[in-house]
Parts: sequence; structure tokens; C-alpha cells
Amino acid sequence: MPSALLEVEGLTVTFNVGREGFWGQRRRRLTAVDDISFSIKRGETFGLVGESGSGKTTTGRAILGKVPIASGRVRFAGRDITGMEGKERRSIRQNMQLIPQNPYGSLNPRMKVRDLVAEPLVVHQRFPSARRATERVVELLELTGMNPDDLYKYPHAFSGGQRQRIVIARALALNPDLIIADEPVSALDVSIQAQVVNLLQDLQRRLDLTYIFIAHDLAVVRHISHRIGIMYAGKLVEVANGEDVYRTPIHPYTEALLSSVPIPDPRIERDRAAKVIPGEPPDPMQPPPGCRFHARCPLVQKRCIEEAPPLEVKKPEHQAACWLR
Amino acid sequence: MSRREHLLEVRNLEVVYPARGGTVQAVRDVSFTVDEGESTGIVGESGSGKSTIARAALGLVELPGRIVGGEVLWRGRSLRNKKYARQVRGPEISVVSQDPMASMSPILTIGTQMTEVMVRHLDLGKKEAVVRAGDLLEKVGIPDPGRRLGQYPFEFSGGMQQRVVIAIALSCDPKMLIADEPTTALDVTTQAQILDLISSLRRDLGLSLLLITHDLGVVAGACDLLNVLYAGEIVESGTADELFYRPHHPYTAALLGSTPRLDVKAERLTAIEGQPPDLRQVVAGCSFAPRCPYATGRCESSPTLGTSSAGRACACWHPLDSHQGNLTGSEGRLGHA
Repeated sequence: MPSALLEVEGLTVTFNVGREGFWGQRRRRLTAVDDISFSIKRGETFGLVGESGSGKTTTGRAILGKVPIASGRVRFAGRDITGMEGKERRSIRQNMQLIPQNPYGSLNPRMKVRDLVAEPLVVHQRFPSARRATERVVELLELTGMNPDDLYKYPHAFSGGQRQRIVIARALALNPDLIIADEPVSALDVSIQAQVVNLLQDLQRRLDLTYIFIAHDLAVVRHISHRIGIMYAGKLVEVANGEDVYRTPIHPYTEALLSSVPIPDPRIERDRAAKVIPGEPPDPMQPPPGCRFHARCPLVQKRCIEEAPPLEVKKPEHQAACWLR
Repeated sequence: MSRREHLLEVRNLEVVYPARGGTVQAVRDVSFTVDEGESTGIVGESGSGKSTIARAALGLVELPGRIVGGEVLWRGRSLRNKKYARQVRGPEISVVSQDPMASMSPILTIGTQMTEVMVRHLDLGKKEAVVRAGDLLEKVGIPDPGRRLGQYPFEFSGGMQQRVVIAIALSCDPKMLIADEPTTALDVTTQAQILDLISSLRRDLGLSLLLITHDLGVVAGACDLLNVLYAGEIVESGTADELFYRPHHPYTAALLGSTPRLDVKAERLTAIEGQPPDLRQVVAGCSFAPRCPYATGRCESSPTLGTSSAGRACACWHPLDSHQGNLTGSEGRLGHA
């Protein structure tokens, strides 16, 4: 069995969202991620797809240790990192970096490119000398297709695509194994988005990186991912190879999601049988019993309403959480 | 008028905004028309001028933006005339924009907001307006309209808010709907619902549609005619099929190549290197030339949008697939003046 770089087991994340009752005696809790499990092999891209509120970003943040885990385990390179804090967490974090969505919000406007990219080196005290650090920054800028002449410019001088390259350079500074990219291209125009997607793919090949690619855009995720996990209302409902998810989806939600994505091809769009699924995802404060998708599912049966289906292997390397398939 | 009168005609429109270090030429010499029952799409990336065109088509270009040239005509009359624009906005042209919360007042109930428009433009009494508002909510797929009318916008989900905005837009039986990125803020299953709603309303009510978006997937299904916008100019226009299957302008082709498709597994996306030009500077020649793989010395002078017999046009000196284009003008393209 190929070694799993990251294993997530029964991960559950809850948030306190205020109090209820006359005296405020009861805490209101929202379960953002509910008992999900998956593992990621070294060198692969695992795409995590879902609509807003499905828990995909929270999953990424929980792996990074940025939100407390209510229950479940996260193992990185065989080591249990659940609830790790302080020094230990810092040493693990060097191997796990985040690429956030918004390249405008994630770069301090008062820092120069050189300092922005060198910051992780400073934080993790890998700072042999200022000159050596600058050399490393130049290396990283070249790696991400930026011009080393830009070293002493401020972020405002760059377009969204260039800023995202700076963010990527920063994420690579410590030679991480795993990169969690949370909607890394959704804020970019399509022509620029393609540049960044290609860059991420090139970097993966050159540096043997493992990615968790979190996005709502199925077309981008399918393009870049080896395996894909589909989330719905805090649950992981299907996990399989990218091709299998697309060609032979098992979960009715995955089917609905796939058929909702508009294809840039007028003939296909015209011939498309209207496959609009009605309704909306459930209120996360009051998730329905049974399968979370049952209220919108065209195949719903009595069992779906009463009992939550577990994520189980339905075909080789293809898991889904559905009673009916 | 000797020509057939178009519903909406935008003719040589030029819009500028003041900016630090000069003016931004947001819309440069843009012309297109929308006829009765037609659905026209405008596709462009950020900063290409698409939302400014939407505002101009509503007669809503306001300071600091200025129309410095050209015309926007509704049934042959200029929307630059503020009074006329106010008359037609609502009963004739209405709009659905990206952010439904920004289109509604957060402190008034849905019912108040819906009836306000109808009382003003349709000369209805308060009670009749409420009945009509309920019917409209039902038509756009909002269950239990009676109760919903008394609620505030925040009590609706994003998709439901957009339905309410569509209901408001339809409340005075307009002839044309301008939809400016109507589904960009929505999740994909909700997007499918809203697009489905817009196209069925269009069929049932015979509406014209001007759909403005960055998403080629969205226009593919919703529009018959397309205009591709780049750096404030229309670089190519034609039917959806022509543009998708036989793009002439290298930008159109590049845009298609850089869009990942769910139904096709591509090894690599063909990214367009570089970035759109800074519109604070005067763009000399073809605005796409610096990023274009086919650019030659000739592209230093501006190509104009040559129109073919079939209404197809492409502003390029080196159009792809030009032997099939049947363009008029010298050398098959209209040269620059």
C-alpha cells in the first residue's frame, strides 16, 4: 500500500455560535464538519468540492490546526497531530502550508515582496543570514514565474494573478510536503486562473508536492485533482478518482452537482435535459436526521430519512454514503 | 428612421472614469443592438467594461463616470436623457445584478419593496399591488408568498433573494431584462435553478435579455448572440455557435482554451500569458496584441470590427479561420481609418 501522507479519521468540528434559553444557559452549537474520514497519498492532489457551508474550508483549517477539533484524528506522515500545539505544532506546520483564496487580503500591504516571502523563514528561524534569505526569495520568485526585480516592490504594484504567485512563493519557502490550497484561483479571471493552475501543476511535478485543493468550481477541481471528495452539509458523501466521480458518480448529490455545472458549449447546453434539483442545503443549526440530502433527493426512501448512511466502499477505490446505491 | 428600429441600440459608446494619473477609458467605441425577443450576451473579464455597459444601457452612467461619445438608444430615443431613462427604467428595461442584498433595502419588507414599484409605475392601488406581488413571487418559485411578503430580505437565502430581485424586475412587465452577473454569487446548484428560471421566464413572457457575465458556461446555454469584450472594446461578435465552435479572434479562442471544462479532461490549460492593458494609458493598436501569439507589426494599428453579411464581426488583422469568415471590406476586413 502506498504510504498515506495525511489520514483524517472521523474528523468533527463544532463551533459555538451564541447561547439560547431565557438565561442563555444552553450553548448553541453548529457542526461544521461531521465525522469525515479520508486519506491522501504522497504526491497526489485531493480535490475537496462542495457548495458554501459544506465544511470544506473548515476541514482544511482543522488539518492545519487553526480550529479546534471536537473529535476524530488527523495523522500526518504517520504521526498523530490532533490537538498538537506550541512548538510541536510549529514544527509540523513547516511541512504543511496554506494558500488562501484572496490574494488581496493575504499579503500585508506595508511589506515588500522580499519580506513577505522571507517571513516564513524568519518565523521558523531558518535565517542563516539576510543575504542567504534574499537568495532564497529570489529562487522562490523564479520558481513561481515572478521577476526577481520585483523584490523591493509592495503588493499594490501587482495584479491578482501576480499576487497569488507571491502567495505561492511564500507557501513554498519552507519546502513543505503538503499544501492546502483553499479556493486558490476563484478570485482570478479565467485567463489568469489558467496560468496559476498550470503553475500549481508544474510545481507539484518539480517539487513532489501533495495538494489538498479546496474549491467550489468542479471543472477546475476535475482538471487538477487525482482524487476528489464531495462534501454536502458537513458530510463527505463521495470519494473517488477524478474520472470515476465524473463518469460514474454514485451519490445522487454528486450527480446533481455535476449536472448543474454549465458547460461552455452551446449544443450541449441546449440539449441538456433540465436537471435542476430543487431546494437548498439544510440549515446547519438543525441538520435533518438521516441522509443530509434526503429532502432534495429524487430517489429518497424511508430509510434515508431515518438513518444516516455511512461512507462505504461501493466499488474499488470508490466510496459513497448512500443507502440506495 | 429608414432602418429597422432596435429595442436597444448602443452606438459607438465611449465611457471614461477619472483616475489617479489620468482617465480610465472603460468603454471604447462599443456598438451592439438587442432586438425584441433576442438574448444577447456580453462576455468579458474583470475591467473589460461589461458592467459599465450595463449601466449605460439603463441610462445610469453617473459621475464620476462620463459618456464622452456615442449613443445609447431605447426604441430610437436616447437614454442620455435622464427623464426618458427614468420613464423606461422599470416598465420597459429592468435589471438583475450580482448582489441581491445590494439591490434591496434591508429595512423594508419584501412586500413593501415590491409594491412600491408597481404603485409608482403601474398606477395600481395598494391592495391590487399586494395581490400582484404575491402572484409574482409564485411565478419565480417562492413558496408561501403570502407569508414571505411580510419578511425582510435577510430572512431569505441567497438564491431566494435573487428570485425576489427577479420578481421585482418583472413587476412592471418590462420588455428587456439586463442581467449583470446574476448567478456569480450563487452556488452551482442554485445557479442552475436561477438560470433555468430566467430562461423559462424569457420564453413565457417574450422578454429580451442582455446577459453580462465572465462565465462562458453561463452564456453558452442562455444566449443566441454574443459579444466578446476585451479592454473596453468588443473584439468579436456573432452567434453563440459561431463564437464557440469557430472563434475568429485569437482572444475568443484563448478564452475558450483557458476555461476548464467539466466534460473534457485536458492535460493542460492554455493560459493567456500577461495581463490586460492598463486603460489609463492610451492603447495604441490592437489591445490584445501584447498577449497574442499571432501578433505582427501590423497589429500596431487598430483593427476595426468588420461586419460580415451574417452579423458576424471580428476586430483582428489575423483572424483565425478567416477563409470561412466571409467578411466584407478591403482584404476581407475593414482597415483602420
